[in-house]
Amino acid sequence: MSSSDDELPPEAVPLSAAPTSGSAPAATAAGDLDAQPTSGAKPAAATPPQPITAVPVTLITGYLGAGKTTLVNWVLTARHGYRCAVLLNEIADSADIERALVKEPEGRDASPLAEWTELENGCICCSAKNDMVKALESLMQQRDRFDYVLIETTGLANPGPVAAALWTDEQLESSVCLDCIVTVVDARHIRRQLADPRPDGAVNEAQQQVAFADVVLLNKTDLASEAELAEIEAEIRGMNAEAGITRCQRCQIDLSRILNTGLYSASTRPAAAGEPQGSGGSGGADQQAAASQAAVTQGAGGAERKQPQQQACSDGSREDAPCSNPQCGDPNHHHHEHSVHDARVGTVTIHLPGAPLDLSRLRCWLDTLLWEETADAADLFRIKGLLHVAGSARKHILQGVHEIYDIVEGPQWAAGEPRASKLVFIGRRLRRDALAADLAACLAEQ
Amino acid sequence: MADAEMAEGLLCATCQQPAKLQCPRCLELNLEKDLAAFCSQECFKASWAEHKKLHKPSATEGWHYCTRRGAGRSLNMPEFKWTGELRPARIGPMRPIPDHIPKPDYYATGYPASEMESRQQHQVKIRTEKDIAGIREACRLGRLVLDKAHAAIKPGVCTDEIDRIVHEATIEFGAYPSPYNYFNFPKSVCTSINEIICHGIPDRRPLQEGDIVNVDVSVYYKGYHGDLNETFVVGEVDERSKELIKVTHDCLHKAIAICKPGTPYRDIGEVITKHAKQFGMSVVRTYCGHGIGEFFHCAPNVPHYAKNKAKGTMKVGEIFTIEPMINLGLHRDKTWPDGWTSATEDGERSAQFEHTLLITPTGCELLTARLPTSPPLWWEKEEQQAAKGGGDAAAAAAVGAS
Repeated sequence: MSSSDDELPPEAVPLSAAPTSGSAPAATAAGDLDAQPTSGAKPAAATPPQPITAVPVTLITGYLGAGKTTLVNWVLTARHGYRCAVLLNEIADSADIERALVKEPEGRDASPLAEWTELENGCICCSAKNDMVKALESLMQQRDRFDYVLIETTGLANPGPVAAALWTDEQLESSVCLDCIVTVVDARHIRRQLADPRPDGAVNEAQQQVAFADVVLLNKTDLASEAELAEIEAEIRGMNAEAGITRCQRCQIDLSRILNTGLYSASTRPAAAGEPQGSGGSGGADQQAAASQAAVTQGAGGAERKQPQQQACSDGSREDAPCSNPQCGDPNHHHHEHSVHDARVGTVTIHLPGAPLDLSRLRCWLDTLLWEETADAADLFRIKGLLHVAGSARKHILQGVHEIYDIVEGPQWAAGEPRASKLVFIGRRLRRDALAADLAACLAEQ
Repeated sequence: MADAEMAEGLLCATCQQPAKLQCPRCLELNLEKDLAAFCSQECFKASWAEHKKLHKPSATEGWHYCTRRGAGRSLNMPEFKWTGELRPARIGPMRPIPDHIPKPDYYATGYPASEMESRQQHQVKIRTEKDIAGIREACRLGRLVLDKAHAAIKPGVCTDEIDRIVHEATIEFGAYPSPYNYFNFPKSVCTSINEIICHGIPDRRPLQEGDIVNVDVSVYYKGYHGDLNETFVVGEVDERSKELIKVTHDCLHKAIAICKPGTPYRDIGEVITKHAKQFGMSVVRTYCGHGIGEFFHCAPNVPHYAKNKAKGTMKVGEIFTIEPMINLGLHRDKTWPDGWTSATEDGERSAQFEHTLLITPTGCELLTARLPTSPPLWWEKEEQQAAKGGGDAAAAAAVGAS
């Protein structure tokens, strides 16, 4: 092999000469030319495209010590039939994750496979920042080994960018898709964590995590009284009326609540926002039922007043009474001063009975609501909705995470079923009167 | 004809006379014969100092196959289930860039750290007057460079020669060829032939009669990038391929037509997909348009496919590219083992056009617009020819009809 460095040329040999037998290809050679003719070869017969089923990803968030790792260990050891891969995501700057996912495949080569450690049901990867994405992708190259991915975020991470990055367009046929956001809370500490003030209106991470949740696991229930648990649940519902709450100890839950929910899949997404779900995937229906139950109780009349935001306002920090009429045009309802409580996460649910929504107006308004930066802009974490859209016999389902949203067609409205829209906003600085007035302006002309 | 030459009459790598001998080391290493054939011992010995570089993979010497996303070289073609008839050829050494050319950070490292760490990855920047002037100039130079490359397109010219033209023209303007060492990309331009969707690496393969080739030029000048591409025909090309090129061009311009303040970025994909679908063609989804300015790629992300959830509406002062890639067959892509070249999964042909544009109060401005001096695209050429002989043809038609 050293002959390539020779200063003196060897004798050239006739063109007809064949390679001497036994001569090894160069160490760097990646293939054997003779074995793969480069010209005249017909392209391989086009294999029929395989329908790509994405591996679902459940994102696990929760404050430090809430029990996220306990949940992961439970998933890895429980008998549930899934081969799970788990990523421990040490995100210092979660924005990096978003960028890495969106900008793929511009990233550098990574060799994350070396970091995988086999466990009973899957493996654990310790990776930092953008490497998480690389790890996910190389993981998916071994799809036959895994059918589920769990990502455990750090205690203080904002789950928004990670969740949004994972919620890729279905058109991209990504090998992974967001399935469920689970927030684990510690029954002993969650109320203090939720109440912990932050300077300058910064978000309280525990509140933010509750806001993003599809499912809240109220953990360590053995360490709190029934009365305390009920108060915690009320407080969580006040922040995020749509999340299903599951009580547990040592995170030992029925995993169908957090695995394969189909919540973000346009094709399988259950009708959201309180829509009773007749049938669904395993667990999906179950979890959805819990969510809709919560929503129904919220949806009844003035139930929203139980929410902290409204509570605060009725404490006297707000002049005008909460107005639940979306058609309300009372000018007195505008421009109320923000109270300190506005920085708290809350849910605003708006019902639009009767008149259908104009889809393009609604989209235009959502674009502004989510993307335009104004001085008193709401800080929206989640949006969900069941929409009655003008000119369509189908239900439309709205789902929003962080800065992105999607409206997809659902099933037909049943005969005799009252057609109405319901939108749920979860975030900070939400002004029910303004949201209701804006939505009223999105109704189709009668 | 070129094929016959390759198969039977190999030419001497030194003097281009018919060859009878070959390098024994190349034979031992199983290297391709196009650079290993010689007419005589004298020619072989005369070339030895240069020739022996082929025997050892290197990014700076000799001709080798690109691997590891541009960071590696291999003596032999990697094994791969190629999707069409095209194969990679060996690529030449990285061309030097003179010291006086201002360079982006990735020139030295292969990694655009400042770009990756910028908040412009998440937040679309409203460009200042200074930014706009700078990007406009980079785009104008990019246009001139692309036109120069276009003029050189003909059968027998290899894409490495296109790379040389682009590289030298860019440097002559005092600019840096943006693709050079961007995430280790080994060349100064992307050349994508036939079933290649994008990111083709210029190599030794000569363009063949009937090929279609996209040339994607980006330049970095006085701190700003400009980005554009076009797809050209090589000699006489079949009708369906020509239609593909025209439809792709029209997809881009239909998308440009809706660009104005307030248009959601997601609508671009709807317009492009609608037009491509009418002709039974599909839209590539893996690669998107992008913001551009002091960084090569930044926010916004501009998908070309329908039903996307792209964030944001267009605002005055935003600058981004639209660059639809349209396939005759299915939309899916597969990346070659070089880590860059993106081919259609079914081996059918793919075309692309790209402009960089600025959102203005009344609509948008194409910063990479074609110039009166730009060589004509295939239908423009046919129109010109028709106009030239138009009088006669029209007269003949009138006679025939009467």
